[in-house]
Amino acid sequence: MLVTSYFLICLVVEMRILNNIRNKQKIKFLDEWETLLFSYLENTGLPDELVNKIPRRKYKYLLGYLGEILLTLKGKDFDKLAALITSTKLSGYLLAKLKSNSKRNIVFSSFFVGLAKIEKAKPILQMKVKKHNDQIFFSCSTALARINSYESLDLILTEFKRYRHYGYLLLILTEFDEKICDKIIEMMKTELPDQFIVTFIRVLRYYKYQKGGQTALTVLVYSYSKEILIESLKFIEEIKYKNAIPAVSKLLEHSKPEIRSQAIKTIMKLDSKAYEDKVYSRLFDNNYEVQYQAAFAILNCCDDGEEKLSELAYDLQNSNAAAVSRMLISEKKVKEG
Amino acid sequence: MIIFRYMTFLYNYLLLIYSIAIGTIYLLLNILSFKRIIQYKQKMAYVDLKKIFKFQNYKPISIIVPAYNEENTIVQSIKSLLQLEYPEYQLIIVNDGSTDGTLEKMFTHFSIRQVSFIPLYKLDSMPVKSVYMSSLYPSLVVIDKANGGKADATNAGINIAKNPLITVIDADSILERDCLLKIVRPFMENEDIIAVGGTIRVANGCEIIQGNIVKIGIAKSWLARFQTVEYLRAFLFGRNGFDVLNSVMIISGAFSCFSRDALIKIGGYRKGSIGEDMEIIVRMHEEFRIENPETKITFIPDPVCWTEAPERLKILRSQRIRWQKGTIDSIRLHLKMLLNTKFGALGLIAFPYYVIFEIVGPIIEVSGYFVFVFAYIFNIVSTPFAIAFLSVVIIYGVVLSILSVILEELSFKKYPNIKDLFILFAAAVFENFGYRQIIAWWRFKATIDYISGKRSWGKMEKKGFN
Repeated sequence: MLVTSYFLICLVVEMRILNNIRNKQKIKFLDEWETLLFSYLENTGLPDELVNKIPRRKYKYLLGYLGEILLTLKGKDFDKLAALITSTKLSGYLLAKLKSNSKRNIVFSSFFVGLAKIEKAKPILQMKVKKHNDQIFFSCSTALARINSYESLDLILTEFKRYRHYGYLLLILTEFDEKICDKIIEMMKTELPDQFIVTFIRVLRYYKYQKGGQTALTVLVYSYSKEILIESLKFIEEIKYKNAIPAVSKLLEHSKPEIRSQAIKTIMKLDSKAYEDKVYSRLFDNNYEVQYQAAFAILNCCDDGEEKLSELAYDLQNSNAAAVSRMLISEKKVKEG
Repeated sequence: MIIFRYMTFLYNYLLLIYSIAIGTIYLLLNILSFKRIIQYKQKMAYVDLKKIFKFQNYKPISIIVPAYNEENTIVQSIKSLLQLEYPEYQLIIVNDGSTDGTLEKMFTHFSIRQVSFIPLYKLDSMPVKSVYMSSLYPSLVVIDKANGGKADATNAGINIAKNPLITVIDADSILERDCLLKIVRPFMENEDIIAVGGTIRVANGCEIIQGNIVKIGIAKSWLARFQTVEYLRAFLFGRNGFDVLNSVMIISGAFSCFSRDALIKIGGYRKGSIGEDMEIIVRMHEEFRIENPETKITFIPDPVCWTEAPERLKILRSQRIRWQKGTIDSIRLHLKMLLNTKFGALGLIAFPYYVIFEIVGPIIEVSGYFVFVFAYIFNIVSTPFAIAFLSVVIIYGVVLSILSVILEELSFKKYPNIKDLFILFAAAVFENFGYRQIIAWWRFKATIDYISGKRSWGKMEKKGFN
């Protein structure tokens, strides 16, 4: 055991030393190349001229640097920097790595081919998505989404069933452009598991996709799932879809407090005046969260909200409603100085 | 005489078996933890936390900070806590009857004004004198109350906490900026989760500016270095390993996050409890897992809270005695969970582990050292046995400590300086010669004190960060 520990220590220290050396090399490389990159962005030189000067073993430093910038850029500068990958030897370098069997190479290269939107990578990425490995699935699906490969959507969703981590699916789907919303609305006309519906509605909400209102309303009327109802309410609130008001108002009386609470938030954003009294009655709900949302909505959305809550705040018979009202009024007064 | 020699001989073999058993359990926990941390790291590598929080699926948090005589650090602590990355949180400072200028400092620096508040819940606590809110920072609430201890102060904080998640932290703890985003994720992913704990690390040796860690380093004193390795072992291995079995029995009071409804349902923290942070977790298991066997209390290795480790033996002794008494107290109060199949691995593995190795363990270990020396001097055990015994005791200890440092290096790499890594490895070896035995002795003493009825908490002094 001691011998094994000794070897493990040596290994870890060696890894750390190598890591430090690589970091130093990277910093040195970036010091030298940063100026060149900026002058390239200012229209001096062709992508090839710049990349040809870099030895192959240092490609990863350049890519690492480009990756961080490309993630945040859009427009002309993005195209110009992406050209450093798409119109140079770097593209061949990445495609070769993508074709390899090494998980590390696939994950590394798929990130850049997706970011630079290299169309040629699509067939390889589609093959790799089927690899039965969650890391490869996630990175290749994300790359396909960044390339907006809608023809791969079915494949991604089919393969996703193996992993069932809906947080990942959400991240993948939001990498597609806004057109994904039409596809989603189409898919929502078919029968789907609840978690898929929740994820799809979240994507619609991410894009604030107005045309999705009717779909969300249909879901709101026919679904019994707590998660689906809450997500639909949030989406309807986000896009202010007024046609949903009658359906939302019915949920103010729902048996689950989480739904009542979300329904209050949504209805007050859609039409606070007409439902003031109904929301006020929720101040006497048996659930704190519902009471809090009702008080918050009344205070912030009704003209005489503060007066109404002040009356209640000192009516100690309704102590819970009074406590919540008093807390919110105090907060408001302190905020207003 | 022969019977005595025979008994001593047998006891030594029992000790050897005990040492092998505990070492093997730790090794198994190590394997489970290795796997889990690697999975966790891979999972987090994909996740863009800020993007996820854009979807507004987060739950707002109320952070409760009980503070007693913290005038030297309270202002910096609050400023640092107000800078945490989280979309919506309320910060509640509970001044637990401080006798120094803690409250006055808050008046001066945060323009707090008295407001009219009625408690939202009815958890038991000492009377609240006043509630204040800051006009500079609307999310800051200060409660001034009569002294009642940490559990009592936390209950007072819960009573006015408006958000569905509650995080409890120590006033002198330093949280990493994104730790709330990480600690809340389990609640977002699984509705059955009622409490989540994060990793505590030793801040001694780190550079701290205005309540934030700006440079991570290793403490200068060996006592703090040993504790650094000890914390790595306890958090990266111990708790992660038990978490795989859904048997986390303790979440550090320095940084924990709870579902407010769960806290209210069990009546909050138990007043007068010695180890309130362990007791509440064990009670939560007992209350909720019968009702819903899917209930989970979990631990995640990533959200990090930095704390000051004692650098004086006297203070360390008082801390460890308190921890040991707290463990025994929590186990005693919920002893009916022992070997109870209703609690799954918790009742069948974690609870017996705590009874055998954490409560009875120090007695066996300390008495074992004496009996072993006695037996060796009087030739009751042979030299090969003595070598085997010492090898098992020392080598297991060294290997386990080294493994924890290796795991830290392979996963989080918090210590950027390679010199610090060597120091950690050295501390992992040296702590087995003297430090471990001293800790065992204090735990032994605490166990004996507890059994004989001396159950006071002891006093914990802190030097405070520079």
